[in-house]
Amino acid sequence: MFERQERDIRSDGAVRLVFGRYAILGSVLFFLFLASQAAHGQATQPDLTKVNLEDLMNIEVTSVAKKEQRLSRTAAAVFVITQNDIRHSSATNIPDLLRMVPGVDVAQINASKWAISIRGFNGQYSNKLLVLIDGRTVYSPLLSGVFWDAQDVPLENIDRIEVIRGPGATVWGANAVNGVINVITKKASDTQGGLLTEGVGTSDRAGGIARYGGKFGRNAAYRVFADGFAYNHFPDVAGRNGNDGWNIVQGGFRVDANASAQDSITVEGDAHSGNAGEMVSSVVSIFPPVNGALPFNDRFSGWNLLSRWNHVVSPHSETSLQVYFDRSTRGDGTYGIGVNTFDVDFQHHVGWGERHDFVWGGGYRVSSDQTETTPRVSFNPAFRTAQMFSCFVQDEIAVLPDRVYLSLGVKLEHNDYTGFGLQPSARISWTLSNRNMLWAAVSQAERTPARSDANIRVNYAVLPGPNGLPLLISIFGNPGFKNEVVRTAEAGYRTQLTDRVSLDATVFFNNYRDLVSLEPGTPFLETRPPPLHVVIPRFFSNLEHGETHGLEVSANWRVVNRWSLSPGYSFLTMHIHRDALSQDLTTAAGAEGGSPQHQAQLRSHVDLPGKWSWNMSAYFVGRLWAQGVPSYTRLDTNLTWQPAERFSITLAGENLLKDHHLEYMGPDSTILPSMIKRSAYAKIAWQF
Amino acid sequence: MRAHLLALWSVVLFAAVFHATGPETAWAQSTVDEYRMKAAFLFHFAQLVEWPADTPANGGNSLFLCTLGEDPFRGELENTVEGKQVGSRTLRIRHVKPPQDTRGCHVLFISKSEGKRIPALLANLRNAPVLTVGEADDFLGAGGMIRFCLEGNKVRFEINREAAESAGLRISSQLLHLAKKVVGGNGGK
Repeated sequence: MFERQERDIRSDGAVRLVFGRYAILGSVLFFLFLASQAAHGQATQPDLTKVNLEDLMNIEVTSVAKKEQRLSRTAAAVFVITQNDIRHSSATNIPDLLRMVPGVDVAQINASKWAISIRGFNGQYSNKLLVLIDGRTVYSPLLSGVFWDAQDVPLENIDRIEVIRGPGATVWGANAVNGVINVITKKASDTQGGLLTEGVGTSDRAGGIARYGGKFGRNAAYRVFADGFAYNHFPDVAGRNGNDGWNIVQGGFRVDANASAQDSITVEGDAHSGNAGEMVSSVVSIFPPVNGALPFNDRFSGWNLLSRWNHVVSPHSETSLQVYFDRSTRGDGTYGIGVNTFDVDFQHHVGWGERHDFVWGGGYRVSSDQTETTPRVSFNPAFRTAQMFSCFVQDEIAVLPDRVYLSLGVKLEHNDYTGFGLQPSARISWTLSNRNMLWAAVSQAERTPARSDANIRVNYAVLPGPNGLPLLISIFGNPGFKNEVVRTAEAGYRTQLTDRVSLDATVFFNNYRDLVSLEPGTPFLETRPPPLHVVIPRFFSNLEHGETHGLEVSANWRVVNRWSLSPGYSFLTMHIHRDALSQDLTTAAGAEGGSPQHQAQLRSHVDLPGKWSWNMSAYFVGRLWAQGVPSYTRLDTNLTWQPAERFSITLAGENLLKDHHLEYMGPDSTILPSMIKRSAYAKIAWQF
Repeated sequence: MRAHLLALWSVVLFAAVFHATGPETAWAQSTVDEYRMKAAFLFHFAQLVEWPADTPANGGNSLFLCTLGEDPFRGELENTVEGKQVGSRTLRIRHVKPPQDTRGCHVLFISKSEGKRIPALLANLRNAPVLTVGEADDFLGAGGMIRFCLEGNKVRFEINREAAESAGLRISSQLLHLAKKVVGGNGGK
């Protein structure tokens, strides 16, 4: 086994260089090709004002509204965080925005780290959730989770965030097991002119964005921006300096162009660099055996370039081609990783006859990583390139046009770890009237292994052993790690109860098998690093199973014209068990007691006279009994004054109810959690 | 690995070729973006409606076409109709945000994004000589004058004649004739 891995390192090492150059070349060529299309394709745009009205009424149009209609009759649990939701919220980053979605569990670990999941299995590297920014995945193929501290999309650039709870596997692919979060940024034409924002707050917090947007001719628009912020540290659970200060700097651009009446092209990119402190619990020395929590500085940086070409073939047929390249690196001395990702995605949306609406497509992704071998974390092999091929098809059938729609879809994927996987889904929606609809769905989805499941080694802790021989507790990945599988049944109801009240409710039942477990292995002697010690290994395996079920409700109530309330509630219960062959005694309880059973929220927005508005949001999160984290209620509020269209001031307070509270103390993460402090900030925004 | 790279490039090539050579028809028969079309409609509305002589916005030689709320036209109005002549006036575009004064507009397009605020906005403009155009489901019932709708893939419109007439606006019979539906009173739907 060792020999094979060494060969992989050599051949992968050589290939890695070629791939890297190829991928960058490929993306740059594609980008240039698109740019030339945009410049060249200033196709003649006939002047419609010279056509008389009767003739205009005979020309067909292509509509974005159809996609919106589709969203409201979507047979899935969808919640869209709109620009108004973002403006009214006191949140200054995406994780805090996600708290408003029932069913999403957001637990802040320290000043820069969050454990975010949907429908259970929360953790710092929550792996059953796919997160995308404009179609580019930010889910790490290395550690099967999202590094939220490096995802700094300025809130002013966000058009909406679509959160789909439940498997989105058919269209979005593997790892969208419990949900998909898709952050969609504004088109360049929506961010024209200049914008400057500057904010300062307690905990030595400061940040701002400078952005400018303009046009190239009549058919293309661009924006460029730079932003940065810094947060000082929170206290740890004992009240000392948590060493978790966080700062990040980012710059980016976006260009949207209508190359012709049928073609629209988008090119966007950004680069970021930042660091976040943390207290890492690690082995300080093997002999004498000492563990400790030491401060480290996690440095991260990266850049990405994405291009997308939408082509309208006819009112019933539209294609989309997307290519992106993403490079990210991070490390704090106890670990170091770098990943290059190149992804091509193609989709065709085509109607067939009166009753069928197909979406089909294919994609290819290649991820090449380079990892550092440190005393704490290492990967074997240290370098690996993994590819994934996928194709999918989905048909929405109008069983009863405008009333009942049946959606059948399947995605076929092939990855280097587990080979082929099939993810089918069937959904039905029934529009009872123009005020309410019912939907139901059954699907199967899989979470494919990441490098950490298959190839990692983490030296966790050291213990004094008999005869003075230290015992090193280590966790090992398992190259034979299988896909985790979920079968889901969901149903939901959406209604406009009255002109002022709307309601959206979902119930779900999830059945899991081949969930990750940690199994003890045979101890063995090891001489490196010296001195001689015994390794007590535990291996990842797939020997847990279980089921979860729950309910999510969100509502909107326009109490009076100037005041609206948005309550929400979610309930989750988890029953996880080890398989007969498993010797893992802790994972099941850790999962069951690591997500809150009840969560509730209430958001309020009031338009006051004199161009003031006042917003408040309260969130209740139930306790995490396996971690000893009590339940807590979070209250945020902000007051905004917008005296002119181009100028606004905001005063906000977050976590107002208690001076500090704890949200997460998971055994899964090796960083020490901090207490989340009460804070306040002031922000000015000026458009010119 | 070579084979896989080949596979990758074939995917890209196939997709790019398929993309570029789809069954395309000559421009005249192919499709138009929905809001580019609606921009042209607004231009025609402006030509087929008469404002009373004492309209406050009548001073000067501009005809103001305003949009209120999140703008679905995204620059189409500036591209398609800004600067064109309507009678003796030049068409100018303004984007307004409530509670800015909308009475200086001749034509006011109220975005669907305004949602629950629309009835209040329209009530504020009742009997004011502003041609209100919108897309919200109950736009006419709330007092709006013209509502866009889509029939199949073609743009259509409905007119609330009473709202227009009580504001002193005279809608040409040609426009009334082309409307999908003309509603006489405030009952709407």
